[in-house]
Amino acid sequence: MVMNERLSLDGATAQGAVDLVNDWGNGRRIPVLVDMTGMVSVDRDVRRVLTQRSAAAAVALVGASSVERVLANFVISVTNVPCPIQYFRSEEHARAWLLRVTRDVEDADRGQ
Amino acid sequence: MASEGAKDDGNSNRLDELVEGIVRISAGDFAARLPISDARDEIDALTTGINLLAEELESMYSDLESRVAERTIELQRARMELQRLVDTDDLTGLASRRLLLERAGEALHTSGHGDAGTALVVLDLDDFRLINDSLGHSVGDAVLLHVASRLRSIVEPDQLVARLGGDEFAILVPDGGIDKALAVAHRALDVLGERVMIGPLNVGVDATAGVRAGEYGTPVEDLLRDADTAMNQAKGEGKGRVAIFTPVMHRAARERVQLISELRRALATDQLEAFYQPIVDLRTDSVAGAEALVRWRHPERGLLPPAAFLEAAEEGGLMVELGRWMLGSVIGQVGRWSRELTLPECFRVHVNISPSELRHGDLAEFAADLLQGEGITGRYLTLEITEALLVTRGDVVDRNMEALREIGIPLEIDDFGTGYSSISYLQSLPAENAKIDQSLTSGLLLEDRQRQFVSAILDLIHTAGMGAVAEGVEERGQADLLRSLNCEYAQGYYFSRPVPAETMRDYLSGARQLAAAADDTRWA
Repeated sequence: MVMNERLSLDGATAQGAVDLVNDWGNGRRIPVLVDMTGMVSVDRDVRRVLTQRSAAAAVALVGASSVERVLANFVISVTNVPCPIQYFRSEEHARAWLLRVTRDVEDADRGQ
Repeated sequence: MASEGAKDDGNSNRLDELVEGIVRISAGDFAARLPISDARDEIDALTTGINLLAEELESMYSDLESRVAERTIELQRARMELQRLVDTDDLTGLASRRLLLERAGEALHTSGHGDAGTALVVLDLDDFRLINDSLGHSVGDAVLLHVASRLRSIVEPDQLVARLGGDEFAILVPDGGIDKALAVAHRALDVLGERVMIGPLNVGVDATAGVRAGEYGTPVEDLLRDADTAMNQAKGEGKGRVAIFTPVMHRAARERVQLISELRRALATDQLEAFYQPIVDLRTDSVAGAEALVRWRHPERGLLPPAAFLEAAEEGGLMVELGRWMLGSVIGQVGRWSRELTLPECFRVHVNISPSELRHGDLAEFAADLLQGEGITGRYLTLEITEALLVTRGDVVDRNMEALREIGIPLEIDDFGTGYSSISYLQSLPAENAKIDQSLTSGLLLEDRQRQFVSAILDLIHTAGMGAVAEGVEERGQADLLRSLNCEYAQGYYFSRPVPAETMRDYLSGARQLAAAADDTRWA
């Protein structure tokens, strides 16, 4: 999922993204990679949306600058997201992490 | 190099803007957000962090403000509830004494309340204690609720009904003066007197009222005190009436307060003295005992009879102390007589016991200790109690009477035939003797009907298994007649006035004869 440049992420946009992920998942849990490059701000309502359970088995946030890093880490640290979530500077590392973590989640789901 | 310099200048400007932004936020403008440039460098990252923290601060501050607002509303509600509690009487929901005083103060200090001014009515229910004692506190409370609702129904919107405590109520008449207040007081007495059903009981409440008219600036405490004084005066004159306060009453009330404090001192400094009026046995023509009567050797006013101070003792809450002093004095005296003299076989000293004493849990224990201290038994004593107390007695009184009987002290009903006696209740009376009131003895020789009446009462007393003591016997004819009617005992001026203990001792030792001996040799 690629976010628009200079996006000020609010609750409604975040909810739209979560709905889209749920559609993609179609009942299954899927890894989600979000490219947030160029994002300008994240408001408090986004945190409420991210605490909901969704089809995301894990979320990797990818950004290019220190701005995304600050935004992403702030949200991750103050929000209780119900799946693994982490910020990466490189998409490659993000994908590798997602594959690994998603497998773990699937194993855990099967174990249940 | 030039472009590097321009970049430095640009960064320096952006840092200045950042500092400005931080200053605004730290000055309390939490809504301020700092712009992010397209450079998306470390300065932008710093700016982003500050924006995030500012939003946090804004949100927390707003939460805090709404919480403070909620708490403030809660606090206001609690304060209003507290105010309502202190302004309202718990039981009846009427205004409290505090609210009444506040409103009276406002009325008395507001000019333009007509020419007639503010007045206060104080109402006290007559014999409410009888209702509480005989029917229980829940009935008493129901009666108070009934009174409250009746009083509410007769006042005008600007008048305030309050419960001062116990069975005392007040109505503030802010306008209309003494005339309006009198009309309210009479209306209150009328409406309370109407009988109503309270549960299964048909109850009518009599009340007595005092009215005090105030003037601009009269202290509220004076208004209340004086209305109360007037009410007490009305009560003293026979209840069920309304009295208007006059300054003379204030003097009388002050004197009563003075009397109470003197009596308290008298009890502490041994100014009281027990006198004894002989009681004779009409069957054996001999002294069978004596009634102990309290006297006060007042340092200025001389020897005072009980009528001069018993009311003050009652009002000052000194009845129990006075009664205990009397019991101590009498038991001490009887102890001395029993050691010094040979007392007649059935000799008993009769001591009057007030209802408040009998309502005290440890009367029997107190008497037993005194008897033990003197080394005598209860057979030398009889306690006189009123009919009214017997009818309305509760558990404590019953326990006390039982305990007194166990230590050999019997009871005698005082003033029999003047109170509440009913034929059915006579059968269960726990008393040994009944004393026929002097109002019945007095007309004995003058009216044939009175003689028949006393004869019937004596029959009634004997049928109930009790002995009779006639008081107020002042001449030989009365004594002879009572003897012929089989009255066992008599007392009165014909035999002897109440006398100091030394004179009584002379009667008992034979050193002195009863007054009746001069008239009838059988007493010699």
